[in-house]
Amino acid sequence: MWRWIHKWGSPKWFFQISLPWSQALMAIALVMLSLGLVWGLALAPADYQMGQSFRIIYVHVPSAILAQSLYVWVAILGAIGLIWNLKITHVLARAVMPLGTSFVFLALLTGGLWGMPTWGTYWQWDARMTSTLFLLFLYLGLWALYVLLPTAMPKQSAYKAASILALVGVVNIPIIKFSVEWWNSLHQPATFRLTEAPAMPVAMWAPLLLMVLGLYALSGALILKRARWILLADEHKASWAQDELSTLLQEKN
Amino acid sequence: MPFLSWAEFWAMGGHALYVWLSFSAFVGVLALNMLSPSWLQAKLCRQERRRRIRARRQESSS
Amino acid sequence: MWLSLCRREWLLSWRRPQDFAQALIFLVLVVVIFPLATDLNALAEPSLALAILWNASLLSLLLGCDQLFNQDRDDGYLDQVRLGATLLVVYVVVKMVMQWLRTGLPVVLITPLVALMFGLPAQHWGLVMLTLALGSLAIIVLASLGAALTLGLARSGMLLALLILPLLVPVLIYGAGVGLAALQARDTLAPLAMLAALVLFYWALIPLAIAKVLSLTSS
Repeated sequence: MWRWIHKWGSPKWFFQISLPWSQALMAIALVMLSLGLVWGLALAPADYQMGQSFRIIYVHVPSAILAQSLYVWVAILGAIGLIWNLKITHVLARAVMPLGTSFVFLALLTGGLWGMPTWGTYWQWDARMTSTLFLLFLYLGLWALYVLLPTAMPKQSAYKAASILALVGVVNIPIIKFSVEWWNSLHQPATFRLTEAPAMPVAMWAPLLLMVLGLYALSGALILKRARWILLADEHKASWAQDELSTLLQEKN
Repeated sequence: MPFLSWAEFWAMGGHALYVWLSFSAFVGVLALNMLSPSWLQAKLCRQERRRRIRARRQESSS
Repeated sequence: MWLSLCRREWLLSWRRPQDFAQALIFLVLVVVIFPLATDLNALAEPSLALAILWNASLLSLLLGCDQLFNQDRDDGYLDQVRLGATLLVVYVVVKMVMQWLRTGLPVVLITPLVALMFGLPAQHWGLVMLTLALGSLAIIVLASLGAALTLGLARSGMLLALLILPLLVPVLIYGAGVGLAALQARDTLAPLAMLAALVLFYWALIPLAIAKVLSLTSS
């Protein structure tokens, strides 16, 4: 067990093992997502009240779930990096940022597009949309920190400082949600419940589950893929990295 | 089967714009994310190639 | 140890009165330009007063903390603290308390003036001032975290705002929410309790984070 944890301290090991893992996860992801998309778009029944626009749930909810999950993952990675001083955690955290931000963006976009046929407006200051909007800002701020801090101080210190912000952010997320829900309950009756469709029949939530799981797998694959190149760029002077780069450059020619 | 014809499928009960825009944005953004690591790889290779050429040049001139 | 730190901060603040003045003037300025962008009828709305007061205070306090640690880093005092016997956390807490005295307290004291300008009924002034006192405490601790994180960066003000404003959402919601509840004759205890809880929570934990960040960003 200790040896396995010790391995994570080796950039070379990570670089080698991340390839088969990302490929496996990508294969699983593509199967699940294609199934989920087809099922959700064409085969699942439409909602009685919302009609066909209900199908947007199959992209909106998975994006929102992943957006929140990935932020928590960045915080967890940051904590591990701070406590055990494993450099790979910062590489992985940086690899998550573009993907996590993409998911928040998609959640907001699809939420708005779902809102128009359902509520007659693209934007609604309800608890969920507002919280998601602030999640976007949390992501953007953290990403900016990961990019800008290394320019002003030693890289590892920079990444650790960014990790602390991620941790403060993750602790604040439930607080933000709670406060926004309270704020919202004052000003609006709770008529708009976007995804609270209780007792959805299996035909409706099964493709949703497929999409969520598929998206998790895809995220894993993409994060690993991205992390490999970030790592190689960081460590390019190391001898193992030089070997890998030689192989790559030869393949290109 | 909720759709009786292709035409109905594309029309999405009048919500075609919203549904198709959502799904295409979803696929599009994810596709970008799938391509992005390859761009990182290409950039890294380009930089490394230039570094090696520079190193060889310095070696041969010294 | 505390005392010598406090004394130093006090002396420095006294010699730089512009810190205190700037925060106050910025606040009043932001407040008074609001009516110019709307019509006079809208000004009769007291809840608008709350929104303007809170947001202007938020921005003023946030931006006022931007360079909080810079001078100490530049003249080497920060390194002295790190190497010396004082805990970095103690230094951080002293800095923040002094900052609150410099910027937070004036914001609270000037509230009646702003309230007057926007027709906020006098019976609510005390409560609103209390919420601003608590809120400003929370804002300062989070803004100090932002200052520590952006210590080495140029043009850090905007980044600080981007990083910290999302974290301040609950403070804003509950803080202004108390005043709003008072105006609408609803229960004020719940949001007030939440605000107080937040202040305690942040002051208990965030100074530790700030100390850790300072040890990283001032190297």
